[in-house]
Amino acid sequence: MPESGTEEIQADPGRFLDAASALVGLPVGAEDRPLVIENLRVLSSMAALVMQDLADDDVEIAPVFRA
Amino acid sequence: MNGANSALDIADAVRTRQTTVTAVVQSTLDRIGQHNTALNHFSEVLANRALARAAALDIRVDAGEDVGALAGVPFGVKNLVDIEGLPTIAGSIINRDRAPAQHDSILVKRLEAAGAVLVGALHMGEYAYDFTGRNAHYGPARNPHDTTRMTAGSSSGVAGAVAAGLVPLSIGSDTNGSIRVPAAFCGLFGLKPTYGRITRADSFPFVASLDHMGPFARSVADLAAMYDLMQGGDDRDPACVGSVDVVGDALTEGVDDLRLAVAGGYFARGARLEVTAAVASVAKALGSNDLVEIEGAERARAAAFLITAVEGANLHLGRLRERAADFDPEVRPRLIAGAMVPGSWYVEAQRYRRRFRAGVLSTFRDVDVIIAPTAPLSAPRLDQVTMELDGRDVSIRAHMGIYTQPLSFIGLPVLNVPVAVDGMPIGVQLIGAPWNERALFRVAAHLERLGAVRAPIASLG
Repeated sequence: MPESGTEEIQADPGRFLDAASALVGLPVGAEDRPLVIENLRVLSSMAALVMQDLADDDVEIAPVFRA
Repeated sequence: MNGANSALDIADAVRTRQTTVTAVVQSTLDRIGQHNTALNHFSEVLANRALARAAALDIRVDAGEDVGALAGVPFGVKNLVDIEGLPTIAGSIINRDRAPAQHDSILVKRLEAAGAVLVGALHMGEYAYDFTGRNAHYGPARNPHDTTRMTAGSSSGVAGAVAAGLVPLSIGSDTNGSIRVPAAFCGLFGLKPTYGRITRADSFPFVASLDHMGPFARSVADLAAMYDLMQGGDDRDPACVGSVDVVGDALTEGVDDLRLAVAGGYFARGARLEVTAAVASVAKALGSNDLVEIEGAERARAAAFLITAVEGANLHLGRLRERAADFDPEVRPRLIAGAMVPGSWYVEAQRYRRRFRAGVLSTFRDVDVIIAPTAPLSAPRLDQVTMELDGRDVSIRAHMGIYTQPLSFIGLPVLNVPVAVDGMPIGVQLIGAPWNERALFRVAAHLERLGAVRAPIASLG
């Protein structure tokens, strides 16, 4: 398995979609499938840029929740 | 007088009793009635409400009362903004089943407290996931400069109505460029303030991490007047800091002490020649020869893209499960794909904001305002689905925000200025450090005085 999974999704987005769709509980209609796959390709190419160099351990995500 | 006049001219005419609010509002409603069928900018016209409010304002003006800085000025709001008595549809048909809003948005209240008159709700792309102005449910908003072309989105009718002179002012929202790109395509001044400057309460969200509210206008003075009234604290929006910096007094300050530079690198790639020329013309007018690199912009844009997909999809997950068929077919696949994104991608994208922000803030030690293109091209035709970018055919919906997304990603204030060109309008971004909207207004006002930027009303048939 590649580090970020982006290469695997690029290679076979349909397989990823089938697995993720079941996990999320979100069926994908046949009419949407090609465009969802196209969007997954775009998202995984974006993720490849984001995941190329992971942030240091002390970098938190920006909080908006206030107790 | 009507929506084709400037906001400040209308207010002045009302205050000096040269006209009445009722006359202004009636003429504005007539103009909307004449053109809205062709343009499709207003999704709801509030004639009765506006005329009742106009009559009430006229009584106060007749009694010698100063009703405010925007006395009698008609305005519209993107239809994701709450209006009492209406469901907040956010460009969807699903939200028509929501209960009507019980009160007006606080932003509407702030403008109306200054004498302005809400005349209607404005067209937008479904749930704000849009750069085109197309909407499968309500039809496309049309660019008033050429009705065969896009307004852009998602603040589609919001920009179009101001460019068409239907109203002088409008309120939109910007998550990845939805104020700036429509302002560019329609030839307007549009401000995406610093993240946290203006409350998002009383509006239907899209991506909480990235959503902003902001104003559109045809002049810098009108934009400043509206922006100054929109500012203020609001505990209901956890991101709203409540910091207020009135900019109306800054417009005549000039730019002599400001350090200005053009964004190179990522922002210098991909744009059409006419866009590059527009950026150069702004830089020339300002006497700016410096280039600055915003390191990491491509990665920042990618991170914003992921955050948008994930948060947008999660917001709509229940509706996607229960009412998938009621979504716009151009929006639904993007939301479904976003629901499948691994959590580690999202968290890493959020963590990258810290790093990118630190780098950009260090850049602002040496420069006050950065100049960059708003969109890679001027308004495409309405039926266009793809555009060429760096030699590849790519989706307009997915990629029109290449120059806007890295900036909203870290909440920088950005003001789109409309460059004076022949043909379709072209927009240029003026980018400031967080909380420095003032510098952007100074530069925009200076450019407007020089004639380098302007927002003429579209010539309507």
